[in-house]
Parts: sequence; structure tokens; C-alpha cells
Amino acid sequence: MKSITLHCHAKFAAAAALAVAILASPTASQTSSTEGRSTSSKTELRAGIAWYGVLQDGMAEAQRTGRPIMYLTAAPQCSGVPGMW
Amino acid sequence: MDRGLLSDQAVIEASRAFVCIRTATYEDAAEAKFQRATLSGGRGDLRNFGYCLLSPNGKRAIRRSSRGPNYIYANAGAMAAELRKVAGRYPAKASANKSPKTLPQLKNVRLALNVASCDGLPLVVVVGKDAKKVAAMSKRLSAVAWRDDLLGKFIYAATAEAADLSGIDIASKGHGFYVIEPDDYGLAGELIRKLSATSSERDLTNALQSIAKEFDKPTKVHRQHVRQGRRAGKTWKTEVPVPKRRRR
Repeated sequence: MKSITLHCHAKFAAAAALAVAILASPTASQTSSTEGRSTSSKTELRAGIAWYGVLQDGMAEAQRTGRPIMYLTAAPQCSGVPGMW
Repeated sequence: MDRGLLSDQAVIEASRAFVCIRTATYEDAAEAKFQRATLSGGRGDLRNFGYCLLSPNGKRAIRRSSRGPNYIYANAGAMAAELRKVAGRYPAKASANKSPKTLPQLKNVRLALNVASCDGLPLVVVVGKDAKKVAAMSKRLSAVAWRDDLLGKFIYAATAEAADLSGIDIASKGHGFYVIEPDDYGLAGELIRKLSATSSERDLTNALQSIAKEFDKPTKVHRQHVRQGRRAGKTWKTEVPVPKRRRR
């Protein structure tokens, strides 16, 4: 009896875990080590310029590679309002 | 910021022969000093924007503007042509064939969230137990961030301090890699996905590739954004004072 009870608990636990995993999974391609909300399928991001965001990091990379530097500075706020260059 | 020059495909391709650095104006005193020296010869106030092509040691300005690249180039084709020409003068070292080891991150999470919002990109935040763990996790993520198919598609930041995560509801979720969608003003963010701190390069690659395909890049209208932000009290405090200028 005890072994049946344990077996049932194990089956219930496995089913519950599976249900939680399915409900929590945003997409089929998501790995089991992830969590989060779903994102709807919309515009794919296009490749962009790969910016170093810290001057020192970029300077070190230019020294390492011998590549010239494209340097840009921009204020991430307009009239004190953030979220817009 | 650039009237489309920096998002043009020919410019993006030409930029791969450069080390591209974009600092946030008014957000770091040392960088502000460099900006002033490089873009205006150490004279005058900081300006919101600036653009410069520099030699690999950062000492010789090949081309500069105290405003954006759109003040130099007539169009994206002209900019791409100059980038190719300049790159041709500086053949890369053999070591350039190896991928960079440094994660292209912003100096802190607060700034990274704002920059991600400005760019309309998702933010990846590395949250580790301590500096050593953060460094190890960042190194693993760096190998993914520099993949050709993921270049320029995410903004990155790293921290071991829970206090750095204000505005993002991830402080109580432990260590790991957090992919965040910034709000319109880059003052808060919503969790898209969390990956465990022990995620492999392959797990990270699969997740970021998947998110890049699904992420909806928002569009903003400049005037409308600023007007609505002011009304809603969405403000940003800079680290370096913004000079007061008279409009002409």
C-alpha cells in the first residue's frame, strides 16, 4: 500500500512538474533551464553595429587587434527625458 | 541620431573592420574628458553627439564631427566608402582573427536599460553572486555576443549587486542571465526570459537567437516621446552636468 501511495505521489509529481514546465515555457525552442513570459512572433531583429559601451574596453580591443576606431558619443536622453537618443 | 546612416547595411558591414565604441554623453566623467579632447580639442562644452574615426591607438583623429555622422556624410554610401577606405590603411593584426573576450557591456544596469530603450533592443543582464562569478558568466556570454548572427542585437550589462536591479523585477529571482525588454523610457523593464547561471554557451546561443527572431523592435517619434515623457514625469539624472545652452 505504502509503495502504491509513493508511486502515485511520484506520478502526480511528475505530471505536475510537466504541466508547470509546459505552462512556463514561452516557446517550443526554449530550454528547460529558462523561465519568463512569451514573446509574440513579430519583426526579426537585424544585425547592427556591435558597439563597445565602455571607452576603456573598446580602446583595449583596438590595441589588441590593430583595427581603427569608430567612436560615437550620444546622450541617451533628450531634454532630460530618457529612452531616446 | 544619425538619420539612418548607422542602421544602413553597407555601413554596418564596413563597421566590422573597426572597433566601434559608443559612449553615453554626460554619463561618465573620464569619458567626458576624452570626448572633449577628441571632438573639440579640449575647448568648449560637451555636446550631445559626436563622431570620430581614430587610429588604433586612439591618438590620431582621421575624421571628426562635434555632431553626428550625418553632418559629415551626404548619405550612407558615402559613409560606407570612407569606412572602407580608412580600414584599408590599417591592416588588422593576426590577433584580430580571435574573437574578443570582453563582453560589450555598459558601465551599469541603469544606463544599459536606458540605452536598450533608446536602441529598441533587448537587454541581457548577467547577475552573479560576486565579481568572480560575474566575470566567469560574462566570459561565457561574450563568446555568444560576438557571434556574427547576434552582433548588434542586444545590449549587455553585468552586476553582483541586487541594488543595481531597481526598476527590473528580477532582484528576488537569484543569479542567472536575464533578458529584459525595456519600457519606453528605459526606466523599467520586463523579464522576457531567465537562463540559469550555469547555462552553457549553446543554451545561451539558442535563447538569444530565438529572442532576436521574436523581439518586436518598437518605433518612437522623437517629439511625441519627449512631450509624453515630460507630462508623465519620466526624467533622467545624468552623472555629468548638461551645459545650459541658448537656442539660436
